Amino acid sequence: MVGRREFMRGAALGALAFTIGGAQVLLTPREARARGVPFRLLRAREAETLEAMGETLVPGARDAGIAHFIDQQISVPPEEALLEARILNVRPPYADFYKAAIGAIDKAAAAQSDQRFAWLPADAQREFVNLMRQNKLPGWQGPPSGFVYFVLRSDAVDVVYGTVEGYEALGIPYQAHIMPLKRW
Amino acid sequence: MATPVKSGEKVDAVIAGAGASGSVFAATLAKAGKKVVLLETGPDWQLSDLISSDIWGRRIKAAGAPFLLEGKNPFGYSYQSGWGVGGAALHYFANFPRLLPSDFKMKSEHNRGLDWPISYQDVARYYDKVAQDVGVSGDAKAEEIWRPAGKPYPMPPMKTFRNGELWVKACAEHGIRLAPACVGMNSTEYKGRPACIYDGWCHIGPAR
Repeated sequence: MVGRREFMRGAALGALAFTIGGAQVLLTPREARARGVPFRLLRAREAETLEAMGETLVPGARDAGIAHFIDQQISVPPEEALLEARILNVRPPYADFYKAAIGAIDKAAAAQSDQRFAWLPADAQREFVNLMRQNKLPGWQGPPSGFVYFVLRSDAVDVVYGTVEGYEALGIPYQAHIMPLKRW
Repeated sequence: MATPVKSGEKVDAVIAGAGASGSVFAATLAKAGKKVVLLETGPDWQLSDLISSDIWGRRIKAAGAPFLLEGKNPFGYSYQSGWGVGGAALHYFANFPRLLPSDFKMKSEHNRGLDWPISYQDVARYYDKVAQDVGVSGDAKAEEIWRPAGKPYPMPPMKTFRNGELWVKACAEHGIRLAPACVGMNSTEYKGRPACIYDGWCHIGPAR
């Protein structure tokens, strides 16, 4: 188990508890992806769709570990989740929403071009997202596509820019007044 | 809760929910010498939990199913709701607008909804009392363009930053009068609580 002190230190850096070989370790989503940490709830093809969508929405989201971030977050109790979905009236368990959203993305992509979203050319992925955000995707079956766009874009922004390192990448000082010294 | 309650102990009042209303009611009763139990389901949040992070700040927002999701009129409500001690008021936008006199007479004045059985004047002094008790910053005089006069707020308005200055200028050019928002934030030190530090992370309002 990850101790409280270690957990708090990790939280400040944007690390989350992932499971490797039955043991919990603190990693950033980027590190979890690089180390090939097994997904807890997402299937491989769902993670692939999520990574492709995240990368289309916010370049860098794939390597930043968006699929590992969401997989870890939907596997913890809702009261521990840090997802934007939490304050957007998504009903727990959040896995239901994400799985429905991913399924809707791939079904709509298949209806449009007979391919899963991850396999579409980059320009087709961007056009797909353009229609998705406007609720204009033919063949969409799932949560409103504009809402899915909003939630996944927030997740992608969180995982790419939501950390201290992400702010530094934008050239913006983090300037925290209250750092997570304890209980986090 | 912070203090376990001995089983069987008699109390004068039991209040469900340690949010903005329940906490004030409990404090008022306790000051009057009553023994009060305040029930709350969530964590006993500490100041150290209110960290400077949009993402980690989400943990203090409601985590269960948004209420009223079933039935004919489902209604999600978690963005502005909280859980644990402090409830939604632990971290919130802290806007303290008052109802207007006409809000109490919607039926008779606009043929919409219902009239309240009380008037603005019936509650005006309580608005002033809450502003003093909680600590509200604002410019009451400037608000008198749309509401009856009352007591001044205990603190001057919060700073207006560049964004606000643009709004003030644009509205002035179009003859639109603005007043500083009255907010439950400290523009100066008040009742032993320091002034707001204008933390840029204040995504969902100030930590109370």
